[in-house]
Amino acid sequence: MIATGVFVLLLGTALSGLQDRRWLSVTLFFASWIAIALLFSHHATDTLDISL
Amino acid sequence: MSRSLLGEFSYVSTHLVVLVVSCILIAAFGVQFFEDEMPCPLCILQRMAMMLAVVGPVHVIVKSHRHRVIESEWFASAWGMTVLGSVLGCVISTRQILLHIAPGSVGYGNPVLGLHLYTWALLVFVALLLTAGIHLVFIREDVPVVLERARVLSKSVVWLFWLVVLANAISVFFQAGFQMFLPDNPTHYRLLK
Repeated sequence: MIATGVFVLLLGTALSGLQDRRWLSVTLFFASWIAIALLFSHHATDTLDISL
Repeated sequence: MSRSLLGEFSYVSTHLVVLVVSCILIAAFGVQFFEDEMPCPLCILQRMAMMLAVVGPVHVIVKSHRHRVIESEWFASAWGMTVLGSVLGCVISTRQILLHIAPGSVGYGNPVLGLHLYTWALLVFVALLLTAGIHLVFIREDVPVVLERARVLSKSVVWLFWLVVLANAISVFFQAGFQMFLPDNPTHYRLLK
């Protein structure tokens, strides 16, 4: 669900280019960046069970 | 090389970057569906970072459909986004490479042209960083829109990217189902079982 939400956020960020408001694009970009970084920190500290 | 020619080159290469990244993401779908190789959470995160890295150039292209000139501020902001997205992607793909660096590890998934997808991803992120750096070094003036006669082609590049993002959202929803997080070692689509 969270990953799907991040993809929807990314789609919103990509579509925000249709507006002439740069602050909106930049805000959504940083929101996406932080969301991906947080999701990565979750998976990076979790046991992935995909190595040896 | 004249400044206007540099601007035109920047505009065309912006399209190429978005198109190439979209094709790479479609190729990842090909591996997922045709080779039946489920993407792990880190693979999904790399896809996200790749999309994030080209969101700025997509904005530039979209803006160019309504204006004759792209302001240099917009252009610089777009490539700045590429740098930030690529750095995040480098961190994620490096983490996955290091997971499998131990001797004897076969890695995750089948190699493509001798390298695993996460190694290719790192190379893509480094290439994006270099591309962004080159654009930022040479950008000094507003960029003219040079694809007026190829507007359909330009819009197709943007639509392709939007569709790739949407397709990934749907695919991940099928993979994760109504669970909060993706499975560590996915074997099936949770929504279908």
